[in-house]
Amino acid sequence: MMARQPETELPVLVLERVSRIHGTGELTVHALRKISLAVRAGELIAVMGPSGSGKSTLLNLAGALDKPTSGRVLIEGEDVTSMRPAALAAVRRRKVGFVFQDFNLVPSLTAAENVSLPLELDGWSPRRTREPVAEALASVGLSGQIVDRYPQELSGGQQQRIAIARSLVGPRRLVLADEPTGALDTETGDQIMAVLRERCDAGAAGLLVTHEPRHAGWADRVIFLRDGAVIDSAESAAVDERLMRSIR
Amino acid sequence: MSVRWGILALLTESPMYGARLRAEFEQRTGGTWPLNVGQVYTTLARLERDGLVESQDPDDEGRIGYRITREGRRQVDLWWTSPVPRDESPRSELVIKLALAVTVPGVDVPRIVQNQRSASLSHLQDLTRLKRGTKASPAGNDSGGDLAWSLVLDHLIFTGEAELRWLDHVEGRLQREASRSGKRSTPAHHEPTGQHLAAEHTAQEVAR
Repeated sequence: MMARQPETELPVLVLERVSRIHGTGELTVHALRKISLAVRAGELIAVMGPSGSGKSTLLNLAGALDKPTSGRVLIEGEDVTSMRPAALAAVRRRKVGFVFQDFNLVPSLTAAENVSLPLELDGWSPRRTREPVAEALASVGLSGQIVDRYPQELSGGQQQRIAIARSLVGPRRLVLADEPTGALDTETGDQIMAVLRERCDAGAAGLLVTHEPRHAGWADRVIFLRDGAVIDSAESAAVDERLMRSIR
Repeated sequence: MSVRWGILALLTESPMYGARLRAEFEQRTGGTWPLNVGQVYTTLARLERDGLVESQDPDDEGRIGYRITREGRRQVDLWWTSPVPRDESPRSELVIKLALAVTVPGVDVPRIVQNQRSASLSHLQDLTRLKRGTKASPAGNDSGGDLAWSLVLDHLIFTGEAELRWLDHVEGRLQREASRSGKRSTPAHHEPTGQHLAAEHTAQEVAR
């Protein structure tokens, strides 16, 4: 079921002419150069590029983990570039979820407790988190006894499902995924991409960094970065009937 | 692969007449290889001539069924267990284009690579969307047909991915060569030649 956001609504994530410069003088590195990008609810955007092209910097700026040298980053319409640290931390807790290659789950917490964590850090009572946590876990295909297991008792694919559930638990709808399939085998990686795609189809906005063309194929749009700048993009082009004819 | 092996393989299950063979073949290959009935009957005639199938008496509706012979079964067993021979000649238009582009002066090779990458990724997105679609199977709704169709799509997706990885590799090679020749006053001795690119493309295909 698609829940693509109408263009009249504010995108979940906006980058406006964002640049990020590291160092000064001769050691200046232009990590990102005037990048503009909007990710709407229902969209999954992939970013591809060689090492050092600025992919990680882009993701860090989009997740308010770093500030741009110039330009603005808006999350759910709020300009996070001028926010104080406490306000930024609140945005990250309430509005942004991260999914990493190595899952980054807390080993001493169960699957359900891991998913509940961002809500509890935001002051929710454990009782109040119960329903959204169960919903988030069910949305990635996890329910029953498995939710009371610890990460080390679960497969890589199950751990990444938990990480996706955690990234979108409660009111959060921006998921930033950094090589989420990097530690998984081909088949499990495809399953994780299907889950991520489903969550976006259900209304989340996703930004995915990947070097796997096959996984970028799940995105609505693919952006190619080189030396900190967008050099090109690709979108799904053919209507299915034309595609079917070309396959045959 | 020829239609011959497909038909022979289907006949190991049970005797069938031409139209049924055609329908089964198309359904099990995900509809990617449409056959016409004439092709099926021509192939059956050749198989009968070679002693690999034999025709049965017409049924009530006048349809002639075909049954596999012992020799036909032996040949199919051999086919299942033999690897498919690869066509090693890199005659893809893309390989030829890039092999020429790196040797003809004044061609913007990085632009060619990026244009192709963008187009190939769009195609990969299209294929992934087809795979995602619940109505992806053009060949009926049974799980066998869906599985066959899904595997055919996966093959196209993996092939597309191999091409994109090769394009990344070409770009990386070009950059290395450019920085190497920039450091020297004389031109590089090991510029990527058409032959190198073609060999690497084949290696990528094989490694896939």
